[in-house]
Amino acid sequence: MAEFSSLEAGEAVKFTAPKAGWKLQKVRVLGWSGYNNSSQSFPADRNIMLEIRDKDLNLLYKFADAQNNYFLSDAGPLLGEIEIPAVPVTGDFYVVFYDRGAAPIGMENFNGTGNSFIFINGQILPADRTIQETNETIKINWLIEALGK
Amino acid sequence: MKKMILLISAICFLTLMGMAVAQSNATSANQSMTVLKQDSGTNLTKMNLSLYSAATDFGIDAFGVGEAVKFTAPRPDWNLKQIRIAGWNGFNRTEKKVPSPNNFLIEVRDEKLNLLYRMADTQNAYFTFSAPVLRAIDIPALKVNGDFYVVFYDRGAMVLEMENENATGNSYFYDSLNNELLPAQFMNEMNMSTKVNWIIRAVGE
Repeated sequence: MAEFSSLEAGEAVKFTAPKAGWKLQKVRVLGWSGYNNSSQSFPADRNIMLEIRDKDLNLLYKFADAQNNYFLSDAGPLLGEIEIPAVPVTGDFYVVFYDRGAAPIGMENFNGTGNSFIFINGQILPADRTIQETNETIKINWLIEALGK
Repeated sequence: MKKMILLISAICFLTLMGMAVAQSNATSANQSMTVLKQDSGTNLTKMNLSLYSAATDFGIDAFGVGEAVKFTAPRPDWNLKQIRIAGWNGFNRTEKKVPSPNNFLIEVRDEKLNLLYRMADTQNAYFTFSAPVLRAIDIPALKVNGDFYVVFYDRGAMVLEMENENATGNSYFYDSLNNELLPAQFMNEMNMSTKVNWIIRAVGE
């Protein structure tokens, strides 16, 4: 699981629409808002944010809501589903998830496809991690899915 | 879970039959727009009203259950521009205690329940009054045709006004997990069901 302390950084994944006129209707994110076993309580509501951007990073859709409505679980991470009004996308597009420290996102530590990024201040940067022992940089995958028809 | 249980308790405590609704100044703006109502249309100060939260009946599942009203656009490509909700966050003016901020959610869906618009925001920004208020919430102009639904998810963060009589049959519960509508009706002690009207209005031109 990963999160960024910066409220302006988002975890982004690049997708390609399977056909012209394809409409994005749902986004799924593996995440978790956490659970305190000692007090058996969930965290207070804090907002996460979702953006859809075209291949040139122009904003197509934006939505913010409290993390507990999507990632509430006392048993660990879950694939939270966020429904969105149908957004027509063509060619490459990006789904950007801002965890804002409220809901860490799941990441695949190996087998990076090169389609996961950090989006911050209008810039898109590769999502990778460095293995300290070997100083090797390894690409990771954010666990974000795009659904549509 | 504890938070939700506390909210349910607080909301159950707030069963204020026939409570008058103050009208927010914001609702008097844009006089040229058409206001669609699916309640009795009686002056709110004279309506038989109760306060309701989905958390009362659905508990933690209230996150996925919304109060929905079906409207019909008065003409093709009618622009929905504002939604009015009669609700309250339980603000206690004497104690000057504003509740913890929690989001409500509003959706607009077409006649087939496809999602057209969605917004979430904190209840305290709209419903911090000493009594329930009819609050106007502007949305970007949204073209709607034929029947459409406005769905309000109180999420246990606040209460919504419901009219206890003169049901028009246009108020529902929307179950977002199963994408289905259920009539907004309640059983009383005599096992009789009563339909209600949510006080949700659609405004546009």
